Amino acid sequence: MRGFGKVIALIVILFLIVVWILPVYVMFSASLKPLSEINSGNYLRPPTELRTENWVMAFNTLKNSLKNSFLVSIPATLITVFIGSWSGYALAIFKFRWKTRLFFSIAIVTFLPYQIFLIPLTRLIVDMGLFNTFAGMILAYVILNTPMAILITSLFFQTIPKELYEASSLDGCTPTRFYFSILLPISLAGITSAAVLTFTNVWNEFIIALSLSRDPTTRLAIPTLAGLKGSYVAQWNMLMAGAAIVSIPGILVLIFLGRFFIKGLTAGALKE
Amino acid sequence: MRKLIVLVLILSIFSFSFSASKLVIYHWWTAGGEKQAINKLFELFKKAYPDIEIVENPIVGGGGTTLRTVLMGLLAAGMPPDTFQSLSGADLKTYVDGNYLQPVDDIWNAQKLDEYFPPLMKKMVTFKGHVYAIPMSIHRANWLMYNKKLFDELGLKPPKNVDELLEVCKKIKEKRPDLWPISLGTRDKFTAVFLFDAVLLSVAGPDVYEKFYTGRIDVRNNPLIEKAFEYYAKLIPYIYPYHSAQTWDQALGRDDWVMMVIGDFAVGYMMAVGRKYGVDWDAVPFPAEPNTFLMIVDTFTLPKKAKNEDSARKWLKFIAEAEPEKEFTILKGSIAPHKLVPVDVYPDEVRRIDVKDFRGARIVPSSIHGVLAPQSFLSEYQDILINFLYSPDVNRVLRQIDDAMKFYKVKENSEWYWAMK
Amino acid sequence: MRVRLRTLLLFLLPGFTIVGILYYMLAWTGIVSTMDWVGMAPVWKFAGLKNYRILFTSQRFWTNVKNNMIWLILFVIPTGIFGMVLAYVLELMPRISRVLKPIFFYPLVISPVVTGTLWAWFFEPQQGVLNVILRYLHLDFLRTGWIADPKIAVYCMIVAGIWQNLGFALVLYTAAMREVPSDHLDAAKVDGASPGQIFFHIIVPEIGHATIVVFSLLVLYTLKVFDLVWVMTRGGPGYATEVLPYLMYRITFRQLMVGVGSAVAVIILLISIVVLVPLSKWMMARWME
Repeated sequence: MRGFGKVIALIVILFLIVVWILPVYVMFSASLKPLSEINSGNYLRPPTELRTENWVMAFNTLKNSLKNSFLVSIPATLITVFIGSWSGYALAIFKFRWKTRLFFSIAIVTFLPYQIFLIPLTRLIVDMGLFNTFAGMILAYVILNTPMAILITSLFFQTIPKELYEASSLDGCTPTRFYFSILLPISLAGITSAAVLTFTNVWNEFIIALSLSRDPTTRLAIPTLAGLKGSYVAQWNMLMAGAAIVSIPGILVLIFLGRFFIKGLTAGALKE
Repeated sequence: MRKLIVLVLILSIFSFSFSASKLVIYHWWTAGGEKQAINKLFELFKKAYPDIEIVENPIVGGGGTTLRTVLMGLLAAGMPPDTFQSLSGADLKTYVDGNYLQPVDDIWNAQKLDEYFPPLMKKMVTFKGHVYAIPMSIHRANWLMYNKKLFDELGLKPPKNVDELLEVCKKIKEKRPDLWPISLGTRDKFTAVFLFDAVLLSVAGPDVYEKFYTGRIDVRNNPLIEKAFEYYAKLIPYIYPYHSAQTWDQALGRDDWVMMVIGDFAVGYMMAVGRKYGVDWDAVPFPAEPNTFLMIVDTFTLPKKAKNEDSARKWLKFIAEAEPEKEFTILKGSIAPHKLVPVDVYPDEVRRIDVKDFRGARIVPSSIHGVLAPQSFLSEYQDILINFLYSPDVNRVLRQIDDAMKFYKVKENSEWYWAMK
Repeated sequence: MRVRLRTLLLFLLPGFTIVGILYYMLAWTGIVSTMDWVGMAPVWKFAGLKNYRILFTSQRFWTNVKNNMIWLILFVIPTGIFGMVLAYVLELMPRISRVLKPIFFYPLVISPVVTGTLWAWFFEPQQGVLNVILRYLHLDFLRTGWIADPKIAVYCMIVAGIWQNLGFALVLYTAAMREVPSDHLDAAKVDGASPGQIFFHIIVPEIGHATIVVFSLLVLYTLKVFDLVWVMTRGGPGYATEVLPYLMYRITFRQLMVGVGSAVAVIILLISIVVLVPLSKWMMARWME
């Protein structure tokens, strides 16, 4: 029975792999086609000639903005996750009166489509004199993403056995030291989850990035990518090449942070 | 961690540039031929004013929908660019109403645009007696592009009005039932309106067209409007049924395309996919009788509190001249509004006909892209038309349009159009 | 554990300052929703509940609400459950999972702009990938208008949404499952429990906290989804696939009726509260002390 179950599982998984990879395949194959081939339809057919210049052109257009996106996404993610876990820690572990109410208050504010905040947020950034600066964009993204980070980390921190904390405070460990020396290393898995999600949110964001930057030196990757499409011109091939390029840092971050998952696993064992 | 903070601070300080004169300009010509065109324009501008640094912000989104979103935030926050692109008419009016623009009558008069532009253009940029933008590029929305190879094969001639269009559709369907005579891609919602506008012009003529879109027609009871929708319904069996799954360029790019009502901006696309004019495809203005020029105008504005107002003024003067307009429009695929630009600078027949008609035929502003009726109405209107294409109930659609016009106060908001008659 | 007020404030203040900023902006939106602001520049003319009345009497609005409900049910639940099961299955097959995980994660880092385009091509009725494959497999009767059919288009978009976001559920569930103490699992195996039994009786209860997070965030995503709709169908055909965030964007930035748009935002907030409060209460009761 178990062997049969495994076969079924494998078939299902194979099917899933095909479904999951298909769009990516289409993206890559479209990125190498000339425009006429894309529009004459059959998306599944591999390109008859490899137009690598699509990639070259896309990369040239994107290279500055990719750098900018890094300069914004990484600090934004680090700051967000730090503040998020800092407050999430308190929310999860300390006992105090309005805990549940505070919890819900965060949850609520994470629920809105961020376009609503566009107008007041732009005004805030402008008033602070941070318009068209990396600092301004980082601040905007930190504001938008911290609640979610608080939420995720606090829920992961719930799983830390309270005895650990009691024991350490008996040993004279202050809450702050606990945070840095014990909590962070143990909850690497939860923290990296929050980091991955924040990073992808910030990296892929469009409208705020568009509004808060004014010149090519500060523009981020996704708005530049969208620009590859054109208003009356549809250069799908370049867009797909650009899309593939823009998604590469994301997957690199995932792989890189994935290593921390494993660390978290071993640290969890230490927890026992 | 500390190093990171310092790095961020340093970077943000560097972003406050200290430079001589700048021109911060927002537009939506982000790719392909349109990008080449605007770059050429920048090149020429730099030659004329070498000490002005151009800081461009191309924001993608046809008709400037995304640009408008971004601008709303910037204008409300008091950070206008030095100049930005806008369509004319009701679209421009929203900025004027928000009190964000400065009048540019002085530039208009200095460049003698009363002489060089057709009078309708002034109407489209004048509100409360002042000019608020400088137009520099014209597209025409009512072209019927058709598959010449196919037409030659079947011995067909391009239709001149909506009755002939129906005839041609019937013939094509008879001889080649596998084809869909009318290509349509309503993932770009405006294409549904383009098609209807062509029908409306053919059935009711330009005067009724103008009145319709400015709310001066009793929609529910007007026999011409009703007839236009009846014709529109008659076309449905000949329209590609899955139109909402494709954009206009996808629809046009297919090998089995037959006819499409689209603007002259599609010419560049045809060339990009390697089709030969006169062999693979040809185009006629539609309807040919009465010969109307459905105009789409691109303009640039002068916001209040622009940081580099002087540069912006220089830019506006610059784009109103014949030579820059000529260079720009050749690459862009549009035509220049300036009278002094000769017809034969345009390499393709389509645009040469455009220029002749622009200077000779009846010009009417194209409805969509927020030019005649207010954007709030048009945004809803597109969907009304598309829903009609899926379920053609003429009485219901008349009612819906009437309600929408009343709700969005189309008549009041279009008074400006008639103010300058 | 109890702490001094000082410590409490030290930890909570940074995060909650930010939350406070967001609330301030939320209040601003709430106030605007009662204003008759039409046009580019702010108009502070009080109009009471007029904007809400406009929405509630609009058929378009209710189509949007219906679509959001469809998303809530058909997107959140399958993605969450599927993510949980998949995470478990992959944990059981560590060698394969090293190859598989990136495959499922990759869509997460692809911009929704691209995802929407790719899946629109996929579901395109004439030349789209799906119908081509169906034709190939001689399953012609299954071919329909997909994304061009007003009735089916929503479901196509949900498929795209699941494709993009499954990785997210996978990430969180994998992390949670790795934190389940291994001695619990070992004990169960010694008792002769099958993988299925282990899943239902040990794993699911012990990852309760992750389930709360995943489902909450999926609901959150549903109420936020904008880029995908915008790119895939522009809310079409007509407005058959429009959802509330998209409606809000359209009304505020295309039609410049900012007051009404803010009202939509407030309604989205209320819906999320109505959905999430009971959900979280139920989940928290079951899985936390």
